[in-house]
Amino acid sequence: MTWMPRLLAHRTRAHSTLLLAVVAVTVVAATLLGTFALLLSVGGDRAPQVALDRAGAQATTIDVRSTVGNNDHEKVAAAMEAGLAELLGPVDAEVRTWTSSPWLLVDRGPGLPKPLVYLADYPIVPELTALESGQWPTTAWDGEGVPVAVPVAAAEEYGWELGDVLRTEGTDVASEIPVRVVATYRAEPPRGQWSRDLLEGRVHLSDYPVPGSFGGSVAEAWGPLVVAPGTGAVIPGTLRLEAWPDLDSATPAELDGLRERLSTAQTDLYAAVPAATTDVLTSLDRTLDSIAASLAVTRVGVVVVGLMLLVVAVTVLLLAARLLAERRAAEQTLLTSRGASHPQLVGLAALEALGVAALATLAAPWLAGLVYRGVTRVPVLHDAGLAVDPGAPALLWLTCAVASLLLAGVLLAPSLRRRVSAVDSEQQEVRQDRKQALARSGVDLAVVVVAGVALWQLLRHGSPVLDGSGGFDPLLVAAPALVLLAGGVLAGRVLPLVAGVGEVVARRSRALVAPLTAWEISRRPRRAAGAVLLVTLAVAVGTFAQGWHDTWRTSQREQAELEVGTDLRVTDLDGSVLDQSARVAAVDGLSVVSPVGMRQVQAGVATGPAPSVSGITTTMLAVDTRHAGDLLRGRLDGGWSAATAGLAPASPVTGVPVPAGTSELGLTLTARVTADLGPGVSALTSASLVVQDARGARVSLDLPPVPTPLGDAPDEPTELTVPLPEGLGAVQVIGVSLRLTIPGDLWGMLDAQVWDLPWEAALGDVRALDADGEPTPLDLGRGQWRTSGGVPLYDPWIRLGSTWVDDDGLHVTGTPNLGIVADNQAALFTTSFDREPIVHALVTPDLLAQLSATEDDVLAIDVDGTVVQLRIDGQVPYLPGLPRGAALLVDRDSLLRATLVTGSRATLTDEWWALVDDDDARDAAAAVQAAGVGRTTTRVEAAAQATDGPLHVAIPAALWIVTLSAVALAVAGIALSATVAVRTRRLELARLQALGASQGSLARSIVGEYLLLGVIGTAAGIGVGALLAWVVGPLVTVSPRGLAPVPAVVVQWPWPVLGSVVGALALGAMLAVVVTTRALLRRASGALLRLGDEG
Amino acid sequence: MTVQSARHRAADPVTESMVLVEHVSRTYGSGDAAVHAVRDVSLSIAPGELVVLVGRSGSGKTTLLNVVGGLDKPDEGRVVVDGREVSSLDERGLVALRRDVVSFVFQTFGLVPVLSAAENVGVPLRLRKVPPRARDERVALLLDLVGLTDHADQRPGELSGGQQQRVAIARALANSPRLLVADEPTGQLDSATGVAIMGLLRAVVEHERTTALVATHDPVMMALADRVVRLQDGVLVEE
Repeated sequence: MTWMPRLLAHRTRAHSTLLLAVVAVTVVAATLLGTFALLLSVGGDRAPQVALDRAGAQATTIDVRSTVGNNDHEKVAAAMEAGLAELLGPVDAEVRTWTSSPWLLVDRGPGLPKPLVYLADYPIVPELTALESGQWPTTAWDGEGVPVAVPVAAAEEYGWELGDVLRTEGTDVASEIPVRVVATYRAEPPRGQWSRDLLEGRVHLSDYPVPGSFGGSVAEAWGPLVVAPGTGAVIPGTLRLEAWPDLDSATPAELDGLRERLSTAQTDLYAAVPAATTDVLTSLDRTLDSIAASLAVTRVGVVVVGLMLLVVAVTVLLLAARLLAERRAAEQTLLTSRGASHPQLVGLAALEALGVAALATLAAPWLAGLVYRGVTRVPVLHDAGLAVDPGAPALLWLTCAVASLLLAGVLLAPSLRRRVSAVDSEQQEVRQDRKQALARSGVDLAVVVVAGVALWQLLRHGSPVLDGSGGFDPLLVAAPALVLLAGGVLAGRVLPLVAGVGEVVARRSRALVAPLTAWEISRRPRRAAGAVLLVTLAVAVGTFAQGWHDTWRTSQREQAELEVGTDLRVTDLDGSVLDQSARVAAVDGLSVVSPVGMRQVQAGVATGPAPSVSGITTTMLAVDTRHAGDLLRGRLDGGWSAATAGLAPASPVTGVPVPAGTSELGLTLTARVTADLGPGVSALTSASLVVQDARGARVSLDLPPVPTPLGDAPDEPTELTVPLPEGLGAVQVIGVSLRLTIPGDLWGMLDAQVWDLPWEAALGDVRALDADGEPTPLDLGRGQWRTSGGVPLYDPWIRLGSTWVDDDGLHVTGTPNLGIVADNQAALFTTSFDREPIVHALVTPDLLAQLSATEDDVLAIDVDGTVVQLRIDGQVPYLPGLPRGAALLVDRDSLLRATLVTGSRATLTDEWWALVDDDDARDAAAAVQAAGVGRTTTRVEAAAQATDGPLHVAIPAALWIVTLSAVALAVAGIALSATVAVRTRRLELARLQALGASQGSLARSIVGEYLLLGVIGTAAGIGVGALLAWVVGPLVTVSPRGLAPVPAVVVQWPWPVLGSVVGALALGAMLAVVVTTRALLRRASGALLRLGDEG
Repeated sequence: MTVQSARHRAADPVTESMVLVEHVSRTYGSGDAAVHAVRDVSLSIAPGELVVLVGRSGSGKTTLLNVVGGLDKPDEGRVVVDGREVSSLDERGLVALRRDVVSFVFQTFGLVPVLSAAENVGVPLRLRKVPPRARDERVALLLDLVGLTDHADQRPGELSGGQQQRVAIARALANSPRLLVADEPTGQLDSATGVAIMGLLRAVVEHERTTALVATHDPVMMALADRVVRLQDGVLVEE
């Protein structure tokens, strides 16, 4: 067998050009597949780290909270720390401790209400507080009490001065702790940072349930009273460990372990911390799950296109193998005739293939690393944080080795076929063997059947990602590649039809060039089929990749846009509604900004005129539908403006205008009850002004109650003022609520003769006061005032009187029943608008299904305790910000009118949505966040994350790599095909030259042949690619969690890019054919045309 | 059918000769490795003459045929075919010469394997853009002439060697060349077939009034020739 290496060496020298091309194609293909492996492994490891790093503290911190109670707080703290350390395992973390005392009641002296306070030692105090007076405490005890800094608002409320000692007593724990006021401070936003505080940074709550009273009593609550940090001044009532895991440097295995431990963290820590109530509060588990799911989906996408690349690469290698075999046909025949056995010939080919594989295995990992580095320098991938040194992971070596062996193994294919005799071989050259044709047909049929089954399964499952679990089915993932291959195979079946036409043309033609082209295609169909298959696959891959790329990006963008629902969304709001409104008004770039109600509500089908709600919990979106086109995002046929038309009331609310720059509203309130309830009975009337600003923020401003004379007692107007936030701009007074309260036990009077309580109230001298106290009278006559008595249920309990405006102001009269006043309060609600007959709503199909309702049905929903009836005007597949599930959309103005006329104080301001230019979105979001309004999300950023974020960017990267690779491989393959075609036909071509054919005409014939094959392949490729993009594209386009995307996928056709891809391939291939053909013809002709030199 | 020998004609050799070879030399390689394939060969062939070129292998027969047929250029001397100085023709002139004046018969037949016998014969006619009907008629005539009418649709691989050479001869005559150049046309055939082919060649040359220059070892062909020219080591030694 020593002849084998020698022969191999000689043959390598003789066929060096062709072999070099084969090695190059193998190396390139293995390199590209290696690059895919790096995208999956290195990129896949890096992406979660980057994503976690960018996810923000809210999504990644772990909080362990224990209520210490009467337990030994040191033991509890130690157990918490140990439990947390166990939970974190090898993952490093920065841990901060938040300590707050139990609630304490401040004894202010006999008869005075005792406010609730608590001491606290928080790590955020230095950054998020401003010292107003005094000095921060530095010791745990100063001899008389615990030195504390108190909120400046509490100090002002209770007149606490620096140096005062406050006596406190425990609520749930019997302890008395004297504290000394040494400083006052102000808590700074953002309030989100105060989420671990007992009052969440609010500083004050007016009706906090007193611990131990089981809700029976409430008190003013203030806090925190800040103690000297780290001095142990606080006897912990609540201990909180806040862990910031260093996820950026955690390995995938460490992250997996952490996720595993998080799933049992609650029970583990509960068991680990003795006696105390311990909770684990974290979103990290959900964040990790979401990242894992996104990554799995991305990996599926990369594998899908990687398999397509493999199909193209194998095809090029098959073509190369066939060309090598053609080139070596004479040699093989000679070897066979000299006694070489079939196994020997296969062994020879295997030895050569092994050499090619070895070269590729050595070169490809190194080159793949270079390609990965190059690819991740592209700005999009660099920005996604994937630009790291890939190293040489085992998966890379394995992929390159397996790919090299597989691809080089393809070179064996022709030699595996047992050769027939030289004569038979010649005969086969003349006419295609029927048996072989049948065998090929069988293989083709098998490919088509397997591809069909895979596609059918994929269509059945709807996606290669299984049930959003992140897992995938190999057959489903391979389906696109199989369909691609089947498409290529079927395209080859078009060739005989074209060849038939070519034969007719050849018969009728006078010339030689065109017929020569036609004969070559029709009578050497295998060679032609190889070229057509390659072009078909390359164009199909390019078409599919770019079609899917655009479809995928569009879908991810649309999903993200629908998920956000608007251009700029502000959630987790901080401060009062009017404060928020004033702050957002100050932000530049927000063309339209509006408060939005987005909340869970109870909803059911209305069963009567005053129904109660007994249905399901659904999500309600209440937006200003007059600005639907500006505010609502998410693709919807016809657009949101058209869909929501008719939801808004016919005319806007017209109230009493209050000029911009108003810092207070002033008025006088006069009220009386003309009935006499006897001695010792007093009444109070309280009023609230409902104001609305230019952005639609609508709130009730409460005025202090005024004494209300009974019977004939004289009434006196009481001067009242209510502040407005600075920067609010112009507002309108659109409503007045009046409430009558008669303290005491009225049930004892129920047998009195007097049941009706005629009640009169008047608001006069209503004026706007600027910062200097300069008044501007407000014209109450501008409002169209109407009064209602609250919910219909109570209508019989109060008879409405009159509502009018005169020079003295706005007058409202009514006659409540003593019973209703005794039960709670009598109220009259005067508004400058009519009650809407019914609120109109759009609902999702899920809601209709869950309620078994249909369009035009009337629903009842509960909005902050007020039951409102809605008519279902229509259904939409989803709502902005609510891509899935049961939900309903109403006009916020319409809903607010319905609630205001019943006395509801609902503001329906859960979020703020804004219209902002894409270019300004980032700055606007930062400005809103800096203003402390809440947490911001922008549509642009969400869309960018969805397409170019670290968890997803591998898909577009892979699609571009596969597109460019397919073009490059196809050009190389065609050049290879043309080279071998000319080389194997060179004698034939030389003879034709001897007969008088010019080099130019022969070159034209060959170029024409490849042009025709190219046209056939391109047309078929576009067809197959388009079919793949149309049928398979939507199936492999899934949500980041592997679910069916919402909104549904719309296949995109990026014509300019597709044109460029096809154009580049056509140009490259033609250039390769022209250059190689002309060069080879010129080189070959001189020698071969000499008679006698046949070799 | 008359063959007019120009053996004894003289006057202006350029105008009178179909082929005029004057002091032609052709050397391959250079220095010590130089092979002088043809040295100072002069030869004239009259129109309609069938000249047989004989000599041992390596004597320069093929080189001389290549030079005469415009497939190779002499280093020295000149070749005139049908009044055209072949050695000074550019590529376009050479293509025209091969298409319109000279045709070749190869030792290995030189047929295009994917074309039928008729299509192979039709190739030169396509090069001259002969209308299909006229082409078909001419092809049929030539196939009839070489006795292969019944094999018109068969491809070379389905024909015997002799049949293939007949097809090659028919193809060579298709465009009615003024000069037929044949290099060992019977070299790959058995003797009986070779005799038949030689006879055919002689007959069709007469039929088509073509001048022929044939390199052969075949004594039958020599007997059929108007004139026999012998080459030895690249030098014309006997005429």
